[in-house]
Amino acid sequence: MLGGFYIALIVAMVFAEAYYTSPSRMLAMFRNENIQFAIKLSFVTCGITTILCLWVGAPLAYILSRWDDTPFARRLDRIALDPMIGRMRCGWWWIPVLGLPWLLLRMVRRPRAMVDALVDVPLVLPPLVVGICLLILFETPWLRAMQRVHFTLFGEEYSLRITYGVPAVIIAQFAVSCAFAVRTLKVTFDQISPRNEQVALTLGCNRFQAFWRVLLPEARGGIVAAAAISWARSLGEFGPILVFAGATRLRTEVLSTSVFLHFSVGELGDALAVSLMMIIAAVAIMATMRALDAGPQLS
Amino acid sequence: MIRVSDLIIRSGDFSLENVSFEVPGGAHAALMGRTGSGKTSILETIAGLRSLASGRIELAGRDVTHLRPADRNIGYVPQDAALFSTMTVARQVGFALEVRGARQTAIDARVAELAALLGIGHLLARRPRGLSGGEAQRVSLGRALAHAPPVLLLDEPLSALDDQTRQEMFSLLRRVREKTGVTVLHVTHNAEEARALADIVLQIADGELRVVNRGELTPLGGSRAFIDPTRAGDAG
Repeated sequence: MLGGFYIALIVAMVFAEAYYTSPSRMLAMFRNENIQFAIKLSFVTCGITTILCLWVGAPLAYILSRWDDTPFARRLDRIALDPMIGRMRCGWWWIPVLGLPWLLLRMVRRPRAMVDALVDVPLVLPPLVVGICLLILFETPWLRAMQRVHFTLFGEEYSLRITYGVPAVIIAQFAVSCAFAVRTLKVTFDQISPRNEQVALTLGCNRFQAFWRVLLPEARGGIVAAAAISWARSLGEFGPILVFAGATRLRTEVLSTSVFLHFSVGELGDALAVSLMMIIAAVAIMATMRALDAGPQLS
Repeated sequence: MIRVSDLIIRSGDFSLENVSFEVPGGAHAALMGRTGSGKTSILETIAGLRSLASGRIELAGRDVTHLRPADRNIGYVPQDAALFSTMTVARQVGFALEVRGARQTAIDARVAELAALLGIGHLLARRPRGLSGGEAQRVSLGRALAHAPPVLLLDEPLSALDDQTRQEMFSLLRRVREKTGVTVLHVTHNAEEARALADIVLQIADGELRVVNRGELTPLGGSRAFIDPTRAGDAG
């Protein structure tokens, strides 16, 4: 019953949006040069971000799924933590000396859990904060110096400028979407028995081959789901893009920032038309990916 | 030939101390013991899938103690067959040769040879989904034998099969050994399997690994020495 209410809410939201937008308005928006640019930029950046998310997310999710850090924790206990505890039990005056090092070592005792928690940071941070963090990071002296570099390739001059450019759009999308990809892929890898990779190792594979030839094909469904969620998340990304890449017409304007630009100057109809385009694009991509994943399989 | 000398395996609260045994070339050895006694740990250590604290492992006259599983030249058949769900049976059986960069004609010929030996010719175009337990184990056996390893490690491959299929697998395993001359180390807790197949029976009981005659096989009642009974469970 409660689930049905939620589904009804989603459907009602979409219908309400569609009700206040006419096909003629949407066609007019399609013919608008700014919107055409925003659509093109959105599709290109979301595509690149999705590839990056899978490329980076798959190995990271694999490590989080398969890496057993128990031996590391035991070794650290034996070498450092247990002797430190022993010392502190001998006399309270050891506590100010060893207390802080003990606490720091205790924090890195389970590196897998630490990395696992770090992956969740972009998910729990407010999007605006992610954008501010990225902006500050790329304005540090080293990265600012890097962004001033110019070079010529095939007669064309290029620069490594990132902030307020298209690369910033991709980085902002990647910063959040990759966490979703890692979470989806980790769940997929967790569900596949490591026994298959072990057998592959005995058949002559190295670790990379076992991952590439055996695990990844078995994780196809999860990879498709991760790609779909990364793409959709990138399309909907707004806060970090606005802060880190800006929303300059015909330069860094993507569909989500386009909605904001129209909305902020009171063009509600245009904002709704662009929103509906985003909904249609997201639903189409998700449906296509699910259809691809549910393709016929020979048994 | 399999020679294990002074093997020590430690994993958390589980430990297995000073295990030594030898299986002559071409022989079939059954490794028996209760659940948690460490027989699967020994097998996985020989396969290179589990690290050892100390000791020495020789396979076919070669010291493989510190080699990667890929370089040990072994065949390994796990309990659940662990077939690759996305590959056809034919590709699966030829996988070890594919990884070694063999030509497709050589792979096809070897797959056909093994299919005839194991009676899986009619399954070659299928994927693992829908195979019976016996069929899956035959495919797993074929996959393990494709690169002609001198040593075959079997981890309770018959435990989930019905009696009739198990009897069929007995004769199949005998035929495989006769045709290939492979040395077999077979982990099992089933005395019938050991009697039917093994030339040598190694039994872990009371914390010791000892060789027993097939006629002496008794229901297993060995204690879990070296293992904290309250925390055992990560050893096979």
